[in-house]
This record gives sequence, C-alpha cells and structure tokens, in this order.
Amino acid sequence: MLNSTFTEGIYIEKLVNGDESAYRYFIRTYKDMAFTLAVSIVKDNFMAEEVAQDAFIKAFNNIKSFNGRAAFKTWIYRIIVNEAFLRLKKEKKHQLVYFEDYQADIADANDLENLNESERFETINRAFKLMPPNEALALRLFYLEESSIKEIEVITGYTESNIKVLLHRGRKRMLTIIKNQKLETV
Amino acid sequence: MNEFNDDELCLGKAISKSKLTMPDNNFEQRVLVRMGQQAEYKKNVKYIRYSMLCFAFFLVAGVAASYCLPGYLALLSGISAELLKLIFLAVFVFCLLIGTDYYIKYFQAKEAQAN
Repeated sequence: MLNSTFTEGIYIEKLVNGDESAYRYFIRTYKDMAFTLAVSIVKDNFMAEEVAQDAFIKAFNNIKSFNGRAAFKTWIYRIIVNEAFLRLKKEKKHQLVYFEDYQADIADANDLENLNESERFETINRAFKLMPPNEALALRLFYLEESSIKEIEVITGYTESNIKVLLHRGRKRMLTIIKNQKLETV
Repeated sequence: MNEFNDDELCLGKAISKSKLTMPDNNFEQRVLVRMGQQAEYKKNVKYIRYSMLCFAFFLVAGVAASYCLPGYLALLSGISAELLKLIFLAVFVFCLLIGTDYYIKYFQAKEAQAN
C-alpha cells in the first residue's frame, strides 16, 4: 500500500511535467474502475467508455489542482463520478426501473451461492444496470473498492447518513432484482 | 438479523468480484490521441485570436495611415505613388495569407476534434 502510494507520488510528479509514461500508468491503473463506476451511473457501455475518456483527459489537464490532501484515487474517482452525472443529465436518460415495494420479495444468500462465479458476475452486473445511479454507485464504491463512508462522502459529495441510506436501499433493491431475475429464468 | 447479515455478506462478496473490464483494448491510445488533438486545438484557438487581433490592427492601421499619409507626403517624395500602392498591397496580401492560414488550421483542428 505504502509502496503503491510512493510510486503514485512519483508518477504524479511526472504527470505534472507532461510525461507520457505517467499518462499511460494512470490510465492502465484506473481504466477498469473508471469504466465500472461510469457504467453504474450511465448504464450504457459505450457512453461509459466516453465518460471514462473525458474524465481522464479532464484529470490530466487539471493535475496541477490536485493538492494531495486526498488520495489520487479518491480525486480521480470524484472526477469520473461528476463526469458521469453530467453526461447523464445531458442525455436525460433516466429510464430506470423503480420498485414501489422492494422489500416484498428479496433474494437470500442461497440465490447467489447457487450460481457459479461467471453467472454471479453476470447477475450482479445486470442488476446494477437496473438500479438508480446513486445506489449503484454507493454499492460499487463500498464493496468493490472497499472505500470507507468518509471516502465515499468525498467522492460523491453525499452526506454520511445519505450514504448509509443509499447502501441499505441499494442492497435491498439488488436482492429484489436478483430474485426477480431468478423468477424470470425459472 | 443473522439471516440478513449472511445475505449482506454474500452480496458484498459477490459485488467485490464484479469489477468490469474496459471493453476497448485501445483505450489508452485513444485517450492519448485525443489529448494531443485537444492540445492542437487549444494552440489553434490561440492562432485565431492572434489572427483576429492582426486583422483589427491592420484595419485600424490602414485607416490611420490613409489619414496621416497625406501629411507625410513630402517625406515620401522619393517614392512614386505606384510604388507606395505596391508596398501597401504586398503588406495587405501577406497579412491576408497569414490570417487565412490560421483560419484553415483552426477549422482543420476543429474538424479533427469532432471526428
């Protein structure tokens, strides 16, 4: 962890000096997470790729404004999240599935454990596409990136209580979607 | 309560392994190319500002010269009217060419960025 922070520090300096190897390093390190976060918000693979691309360019062009108070990861995730929400607003693609009563019939641990790894991967990512962006984002950051609530606060700009509510709702909604998907396939 | 915790744990474990991969293998190169295009575009925007400034200066200088020249005709007595006209024409064509070049560069960069 310390070693990677040290390496990142070196590359940030190189980035400020416009070194191409630093651009490549950061793109390679964060491109998958950038795409995952973007797709959680915009729900479209092609659009998510564009969001990730725009976010990287914005981050590199504004690297001088990175003051090192937060980790670079947190800083770049915030840019990706902002860019994705901006894009969503521009496209006005709010065609999401909202569940009136998402507590009615939810999946349990068995529903997920009975699936093999690739099926579980598919199920989870399909479910993410059917969730509201803010809930999907909170879940991704909390479980996938293992970010603390404090970090999620910095990345998303939501309050601590808001994040806790989003996580709680998100979990329930995801379990409901998984259950519904399972019922559809039966 | 325990049941919910089990479900949560299982869900958390499943989400932690749900990271997607960037589908575009050429993503890194694409970002770098677009950054290069943006830098070029910014440079060309600078060009067009410069060319506009030149144009405005040329216009003002032209008007000022047409007002002031008659007063200095005595100083320019060695130069024929034809030669003076030629000098002005040459300067005008030169500025026009530079301005046009900047405009072309600007629109080329804009087109490249749109693509």
